[in-house]
Amino acid sequence: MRLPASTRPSRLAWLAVLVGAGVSASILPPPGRSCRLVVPAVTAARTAAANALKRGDYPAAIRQLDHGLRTIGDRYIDQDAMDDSAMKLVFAQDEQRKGRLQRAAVIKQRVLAARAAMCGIG
Amino acid sequence: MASTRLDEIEGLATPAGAPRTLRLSAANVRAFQSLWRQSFPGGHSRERGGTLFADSEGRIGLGNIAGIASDSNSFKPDLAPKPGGGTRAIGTFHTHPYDATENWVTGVSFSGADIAYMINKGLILNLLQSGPRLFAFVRTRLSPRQLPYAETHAKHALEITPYLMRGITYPQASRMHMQAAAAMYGLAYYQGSGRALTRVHPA
Repeated sequence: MRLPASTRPSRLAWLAVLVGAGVSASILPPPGRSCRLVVPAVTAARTAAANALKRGDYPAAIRQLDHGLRTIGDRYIDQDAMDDSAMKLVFAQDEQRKGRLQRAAVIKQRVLAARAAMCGIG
Repeated sequence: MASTRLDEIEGLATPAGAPRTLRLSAANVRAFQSLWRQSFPGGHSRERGGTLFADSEGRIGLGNIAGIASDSNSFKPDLAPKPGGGTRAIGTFHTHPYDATENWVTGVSFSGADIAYMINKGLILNLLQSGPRLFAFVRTRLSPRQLPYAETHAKHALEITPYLMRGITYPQASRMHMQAAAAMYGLAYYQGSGRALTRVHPA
């Protein structure tokens, strides 16, 4: 199943999902802002995505996860870590492009969970 | 087969001056393989790794296994020497595991953050295992002293996409792109398995 055009991320939005930082200042939060500010939005996105996954609505899950990733932005970045999460998002995006939406959603869900944890969002 | 020592890879003027082959000790290979096997606890991917220390004679060994933290996408090394270990942190080793939900992909090379970490921490050697494949970067005097972490993290992930759009598989795309990245950062780049890695940039 290919993701409907309306749910495919634009290039700029995708850049924001991918890593958050240093990509497009106009659509990203300023660096250094507290993770605390985004707890409600990220938690809500994760919950909505989990519910969408449970009912097999993968396009909706992906929308929520992309929103959560954009919201958390670069707040998660830890320069003392070797962080490969952007690579996993590229892989997820490639799976999404090939219509493997469940796999794409699951990978994005795990990346968002890891970034949220690095940001102190349980 | 004698393993590569620190003096063979430290202070290299250019990537072309790097050894054609990196030779790993049997003990290091066993440790790397063990960490690879430990990279799927409960069936879920979790990166593993450690710090490469050199002793007073330039022998390279793995220590501080487990690092400070890790998860399915990242590894946070502990670079502080410990009593009884090597005396100087010269690099890191870590794994790139992909579990069943990630299609058991192997052969995935470095990320941009892996490069930025190595450069910014002043490390000489970066080793990675993904399935049976091993990858390495060796720093030279052409390498930058610092890289912007977040930008490097983003840049190299984004630059894989054009390869994927041409139908190249994800692991192969990562390997091809890291050859280009090595040229960009004055790094020697190696691929291999077992105890020997061959320099692929410059070939």
